[in-house]
Amino acid sequence: MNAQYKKGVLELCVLSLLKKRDCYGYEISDYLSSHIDIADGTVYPILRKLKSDGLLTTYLQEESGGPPRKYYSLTSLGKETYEQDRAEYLDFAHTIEQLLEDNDHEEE
Amino acid sequence: MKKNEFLAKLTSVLEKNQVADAAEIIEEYAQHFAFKLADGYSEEEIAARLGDPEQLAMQYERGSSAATKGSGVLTKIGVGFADVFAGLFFLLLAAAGLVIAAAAIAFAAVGVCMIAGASPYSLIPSMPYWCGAIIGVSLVALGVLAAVGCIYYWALIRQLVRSFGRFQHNIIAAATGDPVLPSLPAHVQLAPKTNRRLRSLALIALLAFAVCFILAFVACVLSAGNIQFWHTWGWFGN
Repeated sequence: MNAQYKKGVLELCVLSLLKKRDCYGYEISDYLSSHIDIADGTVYPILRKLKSDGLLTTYLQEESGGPPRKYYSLTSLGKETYEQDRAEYLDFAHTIEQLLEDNDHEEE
Repeated sequence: MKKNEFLAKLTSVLEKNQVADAAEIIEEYAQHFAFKLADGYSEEEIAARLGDPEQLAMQYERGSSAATKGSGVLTKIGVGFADVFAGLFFLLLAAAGLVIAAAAIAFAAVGVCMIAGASPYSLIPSMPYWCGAIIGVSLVALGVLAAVGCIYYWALIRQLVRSFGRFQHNIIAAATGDPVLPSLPAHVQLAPKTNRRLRSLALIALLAFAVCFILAFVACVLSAGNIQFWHTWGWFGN
């Protein structure tokens, strides 16, 4: 699928994952690239952007046998934005699905 | 491409674009390599799966020397002045809200007295009980209508204050270089369920008020035998 097209929904996927629990950067990258066909590195600039937009915060946590990991966590603004974007996306996706189906039927 | 080559390419573009906190960004990619190496991937494989380092670096927002953080003292003073006027305005709105609430309570109280057939301190003019009771029901309905209006009105004021607060936050944030938050709508935000319930309550109250008011008028006219029944019952003295 078109790369530009995917990028828009990646933010939504990241927010959705972080709504469940806090994650460190590699976890998020691993999770997304195992579900969606994207380059592993794509997620880091997205995390950065979401943070500077105030949707995410980060904190460092010590792990046994390794450098401290940077965890990402949703802010209340992030939660608010997620709920709003989620509803908008689902509504949009539903409309497109309907539209494509209707046009397919007309062809027959 | 090896790890060092990847990170070097990334660093050079990040520095060229003056991206803030470049070291932090590079650290994140270095950790990515560490995790993948632990899983048994080779450096070349990891770099290939990460994507082109120069293109990745371009995804980061360019820093500019002009966008330094300021204290925004002037803006804060200006906003403080604006607050005095906005505060008075909101106080005025809130006072009107209290008037609506008082009216709602008064309507309902008089209505209940009339239904109960009581006339405290002889404040309610004399009339046959059934005429009074129907007027009482219409007044209670009017009270409910005013109460619903009052809830909407308070929700509106609350949202206006929140929206103004966000607007103010954003003005200061823009001046000091902090992240600007999305603006809030300045109209009533109620849960769809609450909204539907309030609307049907208002409709029922309006209908009850209109029907009972007309019924009461007809009952009074028939009972007094005079279309100007208040003269027959001497409401305003003779």
